[in-house]
Amino acid sequence: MGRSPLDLALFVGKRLLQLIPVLFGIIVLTFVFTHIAASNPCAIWFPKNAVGPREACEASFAQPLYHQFYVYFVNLLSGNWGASVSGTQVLPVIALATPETIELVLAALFLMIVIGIPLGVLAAQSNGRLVDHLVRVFYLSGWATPTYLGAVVAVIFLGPFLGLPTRGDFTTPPPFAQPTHMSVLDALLAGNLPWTLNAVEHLILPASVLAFLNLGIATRMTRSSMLSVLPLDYVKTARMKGLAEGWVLYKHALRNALITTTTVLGVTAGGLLSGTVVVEEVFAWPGIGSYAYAAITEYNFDGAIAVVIVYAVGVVIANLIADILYGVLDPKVEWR
Amino acid sequence: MASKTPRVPVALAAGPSRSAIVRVGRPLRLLWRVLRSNPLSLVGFVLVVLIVVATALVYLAPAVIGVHYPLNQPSNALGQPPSWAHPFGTDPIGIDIYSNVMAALPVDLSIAFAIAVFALVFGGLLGLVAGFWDTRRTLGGAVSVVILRITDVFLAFPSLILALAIAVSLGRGVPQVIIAVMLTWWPYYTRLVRGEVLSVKHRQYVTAARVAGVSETRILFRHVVRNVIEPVVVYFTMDIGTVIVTFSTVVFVIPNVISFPSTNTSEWGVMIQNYQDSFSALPWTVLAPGLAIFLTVLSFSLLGDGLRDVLDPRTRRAMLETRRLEPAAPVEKAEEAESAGPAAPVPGTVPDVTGPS
Repeated sequence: MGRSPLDLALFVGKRLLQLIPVLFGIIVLTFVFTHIAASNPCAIWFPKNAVGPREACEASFAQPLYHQFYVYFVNLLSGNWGASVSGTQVLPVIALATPETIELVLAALFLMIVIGIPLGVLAAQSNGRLVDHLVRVFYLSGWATPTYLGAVVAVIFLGPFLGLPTRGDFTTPPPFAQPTHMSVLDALLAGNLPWTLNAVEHLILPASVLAFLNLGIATRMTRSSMLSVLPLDYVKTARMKGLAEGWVLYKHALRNALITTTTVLGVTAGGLLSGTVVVEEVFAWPGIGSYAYAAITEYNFDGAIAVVIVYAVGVVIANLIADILYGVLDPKVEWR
Repeated sequence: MASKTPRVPVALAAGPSRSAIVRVGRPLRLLWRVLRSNPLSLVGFVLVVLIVVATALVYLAPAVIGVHYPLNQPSNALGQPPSWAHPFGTDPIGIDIYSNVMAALPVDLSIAFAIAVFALVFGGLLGLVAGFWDTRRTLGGAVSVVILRITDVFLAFPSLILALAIAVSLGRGVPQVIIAVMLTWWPYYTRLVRGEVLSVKHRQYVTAARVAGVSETRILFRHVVRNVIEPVVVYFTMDIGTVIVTFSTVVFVIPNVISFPSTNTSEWGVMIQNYQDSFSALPWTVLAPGLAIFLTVLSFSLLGDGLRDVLDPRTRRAMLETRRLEPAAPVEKAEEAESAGPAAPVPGTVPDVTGPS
């Protein structure tokens, strides 16, 4: 059948190999769009206050394009991701900020799964009736909300109303080391319960906003795959056996419907990551979203380019995980 | 199944006049079926019609609906909350928010249409080529592979992020942002159209046409395109809203896209960016353009989301069972739009389908 552990290793390995051209393509594309799109990028990149970098920039742009790409690529691989106009290195900052964003995105994903999937089941259950319509309006509202509006309404109205903090990942800098730079995980590692609660409190609102904005995909997919599963014979059999409706829905139908829904992970990665730019900025969350926002507004182009690559790699990895998960969960997929 | 005899053989048999009727009639009947079966789609449809009417009024007779030019006219009513004179209030120097929000309606809609239509045409053509001429070891096959690889790389970028990077390197201005979003938007259509073409091109009517000696190009445009267009149009309906949200977010993040209020044009994202600091003092300055985006996007999404239910074979079947609708003809192929990810598990190819897909 092609589903032995060795086949699984081949399955994963093949997908990892397929990543290489995509990653290379990402770097090429980012390079192309940032280096030949503008007629004189140096004038845009270093507006007034940076004469030194601007001269260096113009000297480097005098080189032929393939040479520029070579320099850029070698620098990227050797960990020299450039610096902001004020001279701060890009890579160390991004390395510290990325785990924070991963934490936020994972929290949002968790909420999407916990809220979005039951809503999808609920909608499928009452297909074409009131609850179905309400669920649809709910997820389309999230879809239609401009990111900034959703975030700022949460900060100004929801935060005070619910008594939840709306700035940063901790109220004050915590007294323990932060090895992972994921606030909740760090506090747990330090074994400090009050600080863990503090970190969770700070995570709730930004993660909820991010989840609300992207909820539609999870709910819609769950709904439509539930609708395709519910008329099947095995569901009817389960009902005829006299099982409770909740048991039939969640234990029998949803288990099969969820296989399709795992692809949500890959599909939403882009939406969740895009959302972090504005959400993190509004919530002062110290992740790469805030960094991207700052880089763009402060003419820090090395930073902006690096962030684009990091985001694209994030989407690619999420898709990889979704692919593998799907392959593992769906017994019809052969691992070869 | 009734759907096995789609319109093309009929059109071939009955000549051009009959096919023209079929061409116009089919989408309209589909629309009517959806609107009848799904009250939310009806709401969405009515809202979209209202938006179009409002857009036309802003463009043709602004005074009728209370839009007063010039838009950047300060007045003595400083920072007023919403009232009869100023339905959406005024900003700190007395500029009427309502006029600005309404004046932005045609601007934002035409920007969204321009971007989406470009993506549809450009991405759609690439998808047609990549789907129709994908035989290995031919020139077309090689071209298809190149198109698909490039599309894959584009799909790896969250479109907002790539649009931001391009807009930043192009310089700051509305045209630059439009170009940036256009450059990131087409791959979704390439992917969608290719999948649809792949599912259509081995149908019997295509083979029949080929056997009858119809040229390949003619088969593509007469027989394949027509059966592919329906899901694409549905996706397009939904997409208009997505483009509006993304465009306004890009404009919001990139500072000084246009200095506002400077001219007689207005844009929702620019308004939000411009007034973000006065949100706590004068919330209506941000809420009004924000809710304008929300309502516009919601309207298109309500319409498009209902349409999708009819095209998705999984939900359509359930709809048929509960509502006893007549089946729509070429729909069983629309599955690609949702389940394409696992079917072709190449890393980076699962799109962050920019819509509740």
